[in-house]
Amino acid sequence: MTARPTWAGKSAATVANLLLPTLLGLLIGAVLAPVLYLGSTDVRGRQFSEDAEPGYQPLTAETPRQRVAVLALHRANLASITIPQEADGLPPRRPGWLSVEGSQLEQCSNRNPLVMSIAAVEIYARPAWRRSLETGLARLIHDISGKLPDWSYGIGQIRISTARKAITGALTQTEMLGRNVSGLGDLTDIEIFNRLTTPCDNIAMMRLVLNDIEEPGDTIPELAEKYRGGPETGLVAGAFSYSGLTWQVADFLSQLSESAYEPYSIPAFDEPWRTGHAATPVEVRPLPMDTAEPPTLIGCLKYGALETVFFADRNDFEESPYGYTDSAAISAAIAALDPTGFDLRALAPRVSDTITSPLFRLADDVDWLADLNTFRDEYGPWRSVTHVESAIDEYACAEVRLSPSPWPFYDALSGRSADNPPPIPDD
Amino acid sequence: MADTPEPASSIHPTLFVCATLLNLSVIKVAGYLLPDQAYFTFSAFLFDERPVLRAGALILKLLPPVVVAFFVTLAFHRLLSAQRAMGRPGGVFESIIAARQLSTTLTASAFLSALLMAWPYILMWDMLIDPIMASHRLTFLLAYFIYFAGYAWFARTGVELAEVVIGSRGSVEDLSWVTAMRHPFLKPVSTALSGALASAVATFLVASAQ
Repeated sequence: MTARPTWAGKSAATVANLLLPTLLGLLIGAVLAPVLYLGSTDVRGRQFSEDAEPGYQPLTAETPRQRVAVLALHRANLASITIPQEADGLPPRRPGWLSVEGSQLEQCSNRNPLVMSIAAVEIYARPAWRRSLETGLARLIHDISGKLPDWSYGIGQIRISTARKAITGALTQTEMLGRNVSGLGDLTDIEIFNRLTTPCDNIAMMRLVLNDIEEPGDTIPELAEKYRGGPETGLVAGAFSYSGLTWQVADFLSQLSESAYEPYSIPAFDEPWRTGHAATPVEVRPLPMDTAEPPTLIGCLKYGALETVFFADRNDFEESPYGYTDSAAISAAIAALDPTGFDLRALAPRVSDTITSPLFRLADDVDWLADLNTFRDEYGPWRSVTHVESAIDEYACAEVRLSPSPWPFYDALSGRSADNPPPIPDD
Repeated sequence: MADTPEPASSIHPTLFVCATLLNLSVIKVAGYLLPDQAYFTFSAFLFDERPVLRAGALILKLLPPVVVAFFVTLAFHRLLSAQRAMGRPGGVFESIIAARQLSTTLTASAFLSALLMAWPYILMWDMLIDPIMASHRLTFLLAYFIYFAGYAWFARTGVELAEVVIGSRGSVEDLSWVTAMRHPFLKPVSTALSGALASAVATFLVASAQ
């Protein structure tokens, strides 16, 4: 004989019946979510911050490729998405853009736009869990057999053999510069593997690889295709190509920039998400004939990227503020001044002075190689190169200013010093 | 005497495929025939900036599974009666009804139909949806599945409704406070309430995310 159900039991059963489809749907959705959204595991969910307003750029993403490019940037934490207010004079429900600080990629020293574009696409195409799985498996194989499989590793998906070739190529190109890059040419497979699985070193290596495969006249889609290697496979259910998406991300990065940017060139020195430095061409005057010896072109490395370039008399470094510039300004300056008459002096990155991690040092070295080689390829030979292991602040430099009302750097070369600084126009 | 346990229900494959196709056809035809104001779609929350939450349209949206399940059940019972009248007992109708496959199969097929209608948005969210909605992806996924379950429950309502109509053979007891708890309509009403609650929760989730 069965017991009669109590009133409480009946009520509980009724409530359970009532909630059954809701709970069932919730359960199925929750179980399937990790499977359906495996690719979204890199999302960091950074929120829009009012403080970061200067970096804000409204963009539209209307085509499928544009939408995916937006999400690739978002997942790489190179941009955040927000809703512009109507009060800003913008239509509602348009994706807003904000370059964000503090992400894994942002902290890396090398922030070349093309490298960042490819990194963002790779992060989108191959989520973090899969990269970790691959590196974990490779490490296991190495522990068992003592050999590492020549797979693609890390954010940039670089093979060990490709990395070795790029390092060798860069070292060969740099030998003539007199730069002693200790130990980079003697790295073992496991050492290269360890670097490739470190995000910032991987990013730095991406740039070396790109330098290695780049040929004059390459467009971004062509370079991306070469970087990918082999025949293209479709991304996102075969909807569009790797190179197309890379181009789209690079194009968006250029729109995020307030500086001039040529979508089809590789502006090694441009950092398009920097703000407040409009890329008005600098005014360049001919060299004064009575200069004792040619002035020195100094490239200041900060966080591994050739960020600041300025000109100064080698023997007369005056106290002077220094600022940002870009490849167009450098190009204009060098075109007006005889390039063979200048020295390039690259100062040690500040980051090396404060961060003692050997991994950071490696990233800096690789960046340094990439910067120098790209610089040489773009602007021709120079007479000599000195690597000065010292902080930038010890050197005073004349500044190449970029402003609507250009201040010619020439003025600084011809005797104007920090005691009598030229007026700095408001940007 | 102890209650004999009901036989475990299962899904009939052929009926499942046919019912899914029927459900999809009815959903699409309803989409074409109904005016914009009367056609509710969760996707509208993703694309339409106008107020899209209309109770009437939502009810119309949930009617197709009820109607399909109701008429399929009714048809099965009528066809079984006809078969018996012709002196040919057994066969597919009897086996499906005897094995209690009708309710489970039609419920599952309604779930799949709703899932198929929304599947492109789930699978290709990145490409189809405005990036501004990127952070709401999980909310929408959960809302979708709750809605699918609610949709399936409305199909079950249709089956139960048809079974009540067939079982009562026209002599349905008046619905009153006294008869409410033992009235045969209680079962489909309670199932419909469960489905309505699920649909309401799903709608609330997507509307609050918009």
